[in-house]
Amino acid sequence: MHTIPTLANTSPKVAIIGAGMVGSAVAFACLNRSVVSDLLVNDISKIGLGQVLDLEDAAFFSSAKVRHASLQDCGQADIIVMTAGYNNGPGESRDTLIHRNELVLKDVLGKMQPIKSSAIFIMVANPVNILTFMAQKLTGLPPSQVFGSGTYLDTIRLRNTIRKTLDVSDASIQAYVVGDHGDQQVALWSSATVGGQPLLTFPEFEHMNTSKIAHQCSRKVYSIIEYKGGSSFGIGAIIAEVIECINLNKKSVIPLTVYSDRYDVCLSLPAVLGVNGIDRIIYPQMNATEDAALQAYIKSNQAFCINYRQENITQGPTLIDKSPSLQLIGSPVDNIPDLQPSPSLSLKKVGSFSLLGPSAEASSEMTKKVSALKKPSSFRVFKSPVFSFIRRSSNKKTPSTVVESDMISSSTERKSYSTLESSNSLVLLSPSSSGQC
Amino acid sequence: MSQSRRGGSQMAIIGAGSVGSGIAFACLMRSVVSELLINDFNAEVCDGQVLDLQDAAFVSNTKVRVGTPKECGQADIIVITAGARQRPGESRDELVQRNQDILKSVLDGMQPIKPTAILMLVANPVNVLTCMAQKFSGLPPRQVIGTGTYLDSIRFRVAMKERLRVSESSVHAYVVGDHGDKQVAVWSSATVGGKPLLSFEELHGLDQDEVSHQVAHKAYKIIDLKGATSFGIAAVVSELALCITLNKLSVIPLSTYCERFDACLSFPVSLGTNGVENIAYPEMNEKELALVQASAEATRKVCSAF
Repeated sequence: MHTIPTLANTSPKVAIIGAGMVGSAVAFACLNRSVVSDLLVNDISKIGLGQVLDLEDAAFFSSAKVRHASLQDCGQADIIVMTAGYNNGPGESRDTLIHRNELVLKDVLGKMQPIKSSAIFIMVANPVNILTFMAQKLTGLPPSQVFGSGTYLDTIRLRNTIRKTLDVSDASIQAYVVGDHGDQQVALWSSATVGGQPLLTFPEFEHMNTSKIAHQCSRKVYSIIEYKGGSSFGIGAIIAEVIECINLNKKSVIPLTVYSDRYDVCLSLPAVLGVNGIDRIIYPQMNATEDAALQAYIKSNQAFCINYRQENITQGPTLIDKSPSLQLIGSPVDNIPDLQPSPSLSLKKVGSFSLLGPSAEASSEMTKKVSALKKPSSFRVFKSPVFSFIRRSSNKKTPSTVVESDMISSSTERKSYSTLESSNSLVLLSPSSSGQC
Repeated sequence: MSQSRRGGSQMAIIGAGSVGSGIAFACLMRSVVSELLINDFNAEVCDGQVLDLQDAAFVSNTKVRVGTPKECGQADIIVITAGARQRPGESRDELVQRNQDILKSVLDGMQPIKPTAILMLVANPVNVLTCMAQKFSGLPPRQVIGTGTYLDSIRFRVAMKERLRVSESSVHAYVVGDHGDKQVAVWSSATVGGKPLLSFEELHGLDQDEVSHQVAHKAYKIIDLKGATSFGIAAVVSELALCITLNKLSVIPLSTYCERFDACLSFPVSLGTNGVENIAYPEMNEKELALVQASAEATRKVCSAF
């Protein structure tokens, strides 16, 4: 079906959510490559303001306009790049990371609504496949307009390795890494070619341990993180490339996280990218080993998605405290239905949850009731328009105290937040219109 | 005599901190050279930056690798960013002694430097370090430049951008003298579309001193908010590198020896493959001239020590 390019006659407005190492690298790359004329940057901390001031000094190549913008303004951009999210904390499980970044995503999307219907949403935060899956449900945009950076960077890294061995340019190497960005990526050696010749028939590759090379490639990022604290240039470069592809309706085939009808999951596959987003997915030819590896990943991914759907994304958090004295309190947020407790979940498995949108009255109601508990313990209430956390410390000697503070947003607060989680004493409440403590 | 194989153009960056790696990243995005060498005394950080940069090199098919000081001395363009970082609240002059020592050791490690190389100083205080490099690198002075007040000029133009609703490149204005608190924004001869800047209605009642002060202090503001500045300087250096490789002969305010003031100051020069071709002194009023002369005297004093 022929669709009219939505960016015709307008200069592309790009919004970058999150101005940390990754977000600012993306912004800088875009300015250097003149792929944007209106660059919006959003970050909850003052670092974002500093980044904007620094970036505007780099905009003279294209005379682009760089500014800090509210999430609402960002929701009206033509291209929205989501980089905001946590990285794995020490000893943090994948599930915990997923939940934490899900909350960030919900918070961000909630404030961006309504999102421009022709906008293209690019997920960069990790784990990218899962977050893309969630974003496709939460943005309200058609799936073809929501995709993730996927295994694009892993593909570049593989091509780099091949380039060094064969001494040819990266652009001359046809090779794809598919699946998941991270340990479960699958390098497709069998279909890789250079100048039309299968890669594996080159003398340099005949005796090479390709799975070892692929494994080393996938581990490369850990070295970067160890030496310099984080990786940013690679992702910055590829997102700028993706944005140029969209702007110019290039229809390049790029391995990105897309929703696959065939597998009913979000995974990274070569996809045709143009001004309206993903035009179609290409399913590359694989040998038995590659196919098996990809299928194994798809299976685990499917299991997660089914689980996730069953818990119903819009429901949000549930009560998990074993003591019957703490029940549902708080007031419901608009559009979020009442929640029911789920006694089957145990404390240890749960990472972080939120009490959605307590009003000021409900919040003080709640803290009064919690303080009145007979068990001596201390509580901390983090209050925000969207979510709060209640924590019961394991120190039973401290009398009941309630401390209120703003939403965990700055990096210093993030540290205390992760201490909360590791103390294994998180208590979660879900909002309902009635309930007593 | 057999012809030796030609390599592609090479650029070396000494210092792999946020400035050095930012410069490298900008050059990779803009296809400036065919090979990029990075050097840092901290080998681990250098390795990490190179690994990360290699992930971005596909854009321009540039080769990126760690370079030894000797290899760096053979590059066509050598950028020295190595230097102690300006701490919040610290003035650029307080960096002087620390960075002089670093520069000396960097230059010694690279000798003998390729005779046709262009040496670019980014570390601060840039005028003093450029003067030092002109004396000790062994290269002709026209091949030794400092980023000077290029970034300040960009910042000045950005400040005018929103007020006049024109692109920064259309604001023909220069900040000259010293890159630092004593820089001089030459308002009197600045123009847009051939029309004197100060005659624009939108700027009536503008507090020039306030704007000049904000431009001069933008770096401190950025450092306060995000810890360091990197993107602005990186963009500026990548443009200088392109000027050199493409022999653009663009007129850009850079640190160089200025005969008129007998000191190393930042003034508009035309920059190409052979380094500085010509220098231009914008028309200045009495006040601006006096400030520049004061800067010249101060710089001469510090430079006389070596």
